[in-house]
Amino acid sequence: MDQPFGLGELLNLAPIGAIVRLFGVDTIVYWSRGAQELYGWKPDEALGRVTHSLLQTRFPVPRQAVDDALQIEGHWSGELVHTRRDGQEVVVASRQAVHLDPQGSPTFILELNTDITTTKQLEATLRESEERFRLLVDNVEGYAIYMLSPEGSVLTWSESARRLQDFRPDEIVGHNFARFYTPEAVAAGVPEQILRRALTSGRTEEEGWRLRKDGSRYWANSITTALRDRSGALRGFARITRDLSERRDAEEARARASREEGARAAAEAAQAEIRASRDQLAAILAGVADGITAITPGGHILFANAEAARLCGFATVDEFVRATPAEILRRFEIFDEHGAPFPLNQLPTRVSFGGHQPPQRLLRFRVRGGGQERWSLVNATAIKDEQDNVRMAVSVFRDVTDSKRAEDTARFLAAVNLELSRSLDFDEIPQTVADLAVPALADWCVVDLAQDHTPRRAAIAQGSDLGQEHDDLPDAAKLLSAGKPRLVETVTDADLTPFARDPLHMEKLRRLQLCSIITVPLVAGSRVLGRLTLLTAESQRHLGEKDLVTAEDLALRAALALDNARLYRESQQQTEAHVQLNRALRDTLTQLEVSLATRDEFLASASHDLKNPIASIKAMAQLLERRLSRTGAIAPEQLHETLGRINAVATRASGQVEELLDLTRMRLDRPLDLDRESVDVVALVRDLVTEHQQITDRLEITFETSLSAVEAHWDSRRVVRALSNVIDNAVKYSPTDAPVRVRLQTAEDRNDWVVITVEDQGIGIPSEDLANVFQRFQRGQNVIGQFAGTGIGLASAQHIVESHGGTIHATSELGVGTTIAIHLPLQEYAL
Amino acid sequence: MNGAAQPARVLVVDDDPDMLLVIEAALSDEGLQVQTAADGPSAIDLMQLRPPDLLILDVTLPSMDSSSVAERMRELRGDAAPVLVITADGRAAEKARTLRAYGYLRKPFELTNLITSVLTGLQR
Repeated sequence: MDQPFGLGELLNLAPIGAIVRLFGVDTIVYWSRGAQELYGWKPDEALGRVTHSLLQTRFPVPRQAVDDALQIEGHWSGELVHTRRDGQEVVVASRQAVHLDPQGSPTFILELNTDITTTKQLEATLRESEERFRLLVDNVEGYAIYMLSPEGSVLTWSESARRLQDFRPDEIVGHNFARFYTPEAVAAGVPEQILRRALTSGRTEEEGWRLRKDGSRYWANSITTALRDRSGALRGFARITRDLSERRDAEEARARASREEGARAAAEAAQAEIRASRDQLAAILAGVADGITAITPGGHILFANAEAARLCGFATVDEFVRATPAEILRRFEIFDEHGAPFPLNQLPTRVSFGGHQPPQRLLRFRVRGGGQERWSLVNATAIKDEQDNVRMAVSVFRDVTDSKRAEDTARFLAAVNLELSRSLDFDEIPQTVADLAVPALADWCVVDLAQDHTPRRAAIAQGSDLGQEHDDLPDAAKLLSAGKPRLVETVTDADLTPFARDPLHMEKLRRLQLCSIITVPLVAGSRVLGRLTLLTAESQRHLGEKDLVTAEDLALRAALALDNARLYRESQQQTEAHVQLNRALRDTLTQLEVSLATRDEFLASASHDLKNPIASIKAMAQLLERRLSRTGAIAPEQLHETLGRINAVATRASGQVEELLDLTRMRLDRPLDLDRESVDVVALVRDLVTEHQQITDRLEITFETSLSAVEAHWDSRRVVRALSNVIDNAVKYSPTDAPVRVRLQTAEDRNDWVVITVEDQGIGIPSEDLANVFQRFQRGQNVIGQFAGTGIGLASAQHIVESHGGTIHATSELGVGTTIAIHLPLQEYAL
Repeated sequence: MNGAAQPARVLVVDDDPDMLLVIEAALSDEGLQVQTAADGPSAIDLMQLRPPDLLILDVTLPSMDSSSVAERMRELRGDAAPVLVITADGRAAEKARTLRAYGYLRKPFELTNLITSVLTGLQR
């Protein structure tokens, strides 16, 4: 099947799956190389198949909606799940557009599919890490963590819940959580009240007796949290129940002691309990991957685990715990997820001190003075005493930098793929790449190319205009010679030196106050096309190893795009070269055709010229015959005259035959076999002029010379023929009454040469034809079809002149006239 | 024959002086008055002076199209004026048709044929 678009080869170059299908029936009529790579089917396997059955397409919306969008809006884009030839599923970002014929009827649908499976996998990785967190929760001793439906039925049942309450998941899932309460509590409506309170205030906490599977009682604390989705709809409840039996025992003991030993002892015991509780909590939380802190409203850190210390930039927990809140906060710059400064009073920990449950926050923060940026999910919960006073805030920090980075990088590279697949313009790609890199990766991006070994800055993108001169940036030639990928996390003068042209430039580089530099080569195959350089300055952002990897990914894609564009341009140029070659061939053919036509004309003319003398001789002979038979005798003088004429005509005819033979020799590039004799040049030219003047009275042919007699050793018949041809031409192309001047003189520089010029005031020769005027069968464009001729006269003249060791030149001006100059040596001389 | 009173006038146009001479001699022998011209312009000049009864035209004339000579002849002597074409060219018949000649002769020709053709032309 034919590919319907000339676009085909172009689409083949794009690193995406390009498919063209017939509108309405969805039969595949074009299947790009990218599609083959993406799905595994070769064009001959895919062409003619119906797209969605071949790819087992799963649509995110009803298929009818996709078809409607294509029909009404002409395009659709969204995510599709396709099945590859090997059975693996791929997630693609699909862009589809309808192609209309000139009448506006839909003909084809062009479908561009980009593989985003990796991005989807990253999302799955994030989910997995949540799963790991769940496992962690499952294994925390003394807690039961589970979920309830909005009606209070148990939905999930964790391992920790099983350990605490003995129920296996199949025994409890689907049952109402009221089962965990005593009959008295159920009768008092406690379970329903709990759900209502959680619904109204978001979260509720209660303590009381609970039942195990075997009916035994234990004292527990439960926190019930309402779970809502983004739209605010109730999804269910999360329950965290902690077995407080031991604490209850301790409290009862303490109460007893209090009663028995007095207040002081009670306080000691309470402190011991708090210490014990803290130690226990610390033991539980120390190994948790999230950073966890417990801070008093006064800012005293009651507890912090190792991860919290690390996230906040401290080497040890002790060091962290000793720091004051002000000291800790001073170390950071904190931004919201969009990069705007985040107000400190909205930090979840601060909000929770006010007694409110703060929303979870995604924050970006950076240790001041050159740290890398990190992302963190922050939650905080206030812990209150019986009097409802906030005693501490427990904050949980989850470092999501890696998954956030991976997600950002995947999104960035997907955008890069899309942007670069849009352009095959070599000159446009560097700027596209630079614009993509700023501000996503750096404050500055420069792309330098080494085309034909000449360094050239192909593109510059800058995040904010701070008035720097582009010329101040690191030098293109220096960067191009930097070789391997390089990362400079914190720029020092020593790092700048290799990129400076001279001390003055070095000073300018310093003034840029660069923070980090990444510079990577653009390599396609084994060719280094140029270099991509990222710089950070005003944002104070420090680039790291991961940024280097991203820069290399970007450089790889940029190099591929440039290489594709180069190949595309070369193929275009080849096409252009073919077009030019064809044109040249066509011109040559046309010229050949003209030459052949003039040669035919020449042959016709030559035979005509030969027939004329034969016709005359024949007619003269017959005239004599007629007169003889009519009168019986012819007067001797009449007979004498006619016979003489016959003789002369025969001589002329023989000269013509000789000329034809000369022409054949000329055609075979053979020199003439000259029949040299002693001749007076002055007489020869004068006689010739007289002869030509006798033939025409249309114009005057003048002869000028200051010479009286010059002896030459020439083949005079041939020189006469050459001159005749030149004079014939001059007369033929001159208007009536415009004289033809023939001049004879000795050559300026040597007296053993003569120059004969024939000057007319005729139509002239176009300058583009002047070079060809002595070529056989070549005639000026302005005389073809206007004047009879064969294009042989001047060629023959040149042949004769050159056989005598001379030269012939033409100078001409259209509408003014032509001068032919013949230089001839008087004697034969050895070359 | 046109009677004895006034000999018929024939104009011969050819760029070959030898051919002009021999035709002039042959037709004069037949009692015709013969004028010759070597090119178109001089032929037209002669015709203006005294229009001939018959025109013999070589169709490969230099400078001026032989058709303008034939045309001038018709302007002067009416549409049926006799024109005889002689040519060394292979396309004699075609040229004769273009010039609306009553006949043509290919060079080299038999002198008798020329004379017969001319006499026939004069009787038309």
